[in-house]
Amino acid sequence: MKVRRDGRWPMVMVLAAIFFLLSVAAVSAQESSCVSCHTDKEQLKKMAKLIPPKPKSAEKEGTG
Amino acid sequence: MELYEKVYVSEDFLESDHGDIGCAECHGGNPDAEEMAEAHEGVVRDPSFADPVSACGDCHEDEVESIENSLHYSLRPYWDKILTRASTDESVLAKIKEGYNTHCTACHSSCGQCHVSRPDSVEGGFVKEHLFVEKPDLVNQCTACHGSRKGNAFLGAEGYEPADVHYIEHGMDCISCHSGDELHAAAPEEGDRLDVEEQPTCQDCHEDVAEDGNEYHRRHVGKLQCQICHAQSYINCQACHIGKDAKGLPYYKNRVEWHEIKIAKNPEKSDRRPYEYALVRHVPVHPGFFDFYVKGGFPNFDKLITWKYASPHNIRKRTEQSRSCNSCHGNRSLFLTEEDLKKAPFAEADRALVVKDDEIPPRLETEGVEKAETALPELPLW
Repeated sequence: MKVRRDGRWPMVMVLAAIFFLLSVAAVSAQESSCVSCHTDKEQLKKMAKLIPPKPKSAEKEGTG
Repeated sequence: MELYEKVYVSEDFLESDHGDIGCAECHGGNPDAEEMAEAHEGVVRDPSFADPVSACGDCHEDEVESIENSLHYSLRPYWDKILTRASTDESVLAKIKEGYNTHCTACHSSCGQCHVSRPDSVEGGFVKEHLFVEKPDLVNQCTACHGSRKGNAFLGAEGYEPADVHYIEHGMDCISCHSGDELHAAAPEEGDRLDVEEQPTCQDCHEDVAEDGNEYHRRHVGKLQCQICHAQSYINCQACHIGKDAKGLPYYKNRVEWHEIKIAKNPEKSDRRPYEYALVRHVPVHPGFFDFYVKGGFPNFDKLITWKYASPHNIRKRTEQSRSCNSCHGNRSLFLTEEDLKKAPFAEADRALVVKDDEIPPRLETEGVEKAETALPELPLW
């Protein structure tokens, strides 16, 4: 394998590292925003009160 | 189940294998948003229904192989039955399809609705705080859908008959008999759920019953479905009505139900079910089933039976039928007759199942027959 010695190789390494760190940050951000809410019972109880009940027909006879 | 419980995620889940996968990777949405509505834009609540292969197939390749054609996921035999009876007029079929999509397809399931949450048809909700379970839960998952008939009978919850011996005395649940292979299997190209080869049979566990020294078994095994002697009375439905109310919300009504046992000519005779006689129950179909959507949509209604093969899930060793020979022999009330057909809308095809008077096994007058009568033990209702 040829090793590039024209000065561009370190730059590729730096860009890759930056990309990796950004990806990790993005995944962490994803997890924290979803998880912080869905693991907090009190927060979920408060939010549940804001959601209207799903409409269902009142017409029903028999157990089906 | 409270609304918040349905979506609460535990720390245990986050530490599990599935918890290692980022939320948005399966569910999408906008994890950068700060407001709930914005965060949930584009969220796929059940990724395994939207696309089971992409959602689960990377790790569970074997299980997803047939899932899109499985009974639970596709419900395909239902539509096949409808097509057999329906008009071939495309405009009529389109209206039937609208009714089918509105009322019938809500009862599907998916990987997630058996292994993570309760099914959509009972409004979902995590069973174990988003933890994945290998075996579906009897109460929250299996009988959440299969409840009004199978579940109530199995648990003895109807108050008519004691619970199934497999449950109440042996602690078995649905998965004890209905394996993953069966539940994941593709629906057969032709036929219905009864044609799935992976289905269990009584003989899978109760081997060699014909040679177990029991005179009843010696005489009847192979000719009679086991449930004829070992099931208790079970639910029958007269006619289901579907439609939409004044607000446009879909509903169904099944006004008349009744409990009884009916022995008929076996409508599902096959290598797996070679019996001459089997139990049947009336299912709630009738020619006007889709009248709300289109009238006269089923000119071929008579092609298929309305009294269908029944395998009640309320098995006991001792039942009214197994008390003595003459509990069945000469007991016309146990057999499906022409008069029984009139209890509910029936099809011409049902006539082939009727047991005529001269086909009902005659009462036995042999000496000693009555001595064989056994007392039914007092059994606890659930």
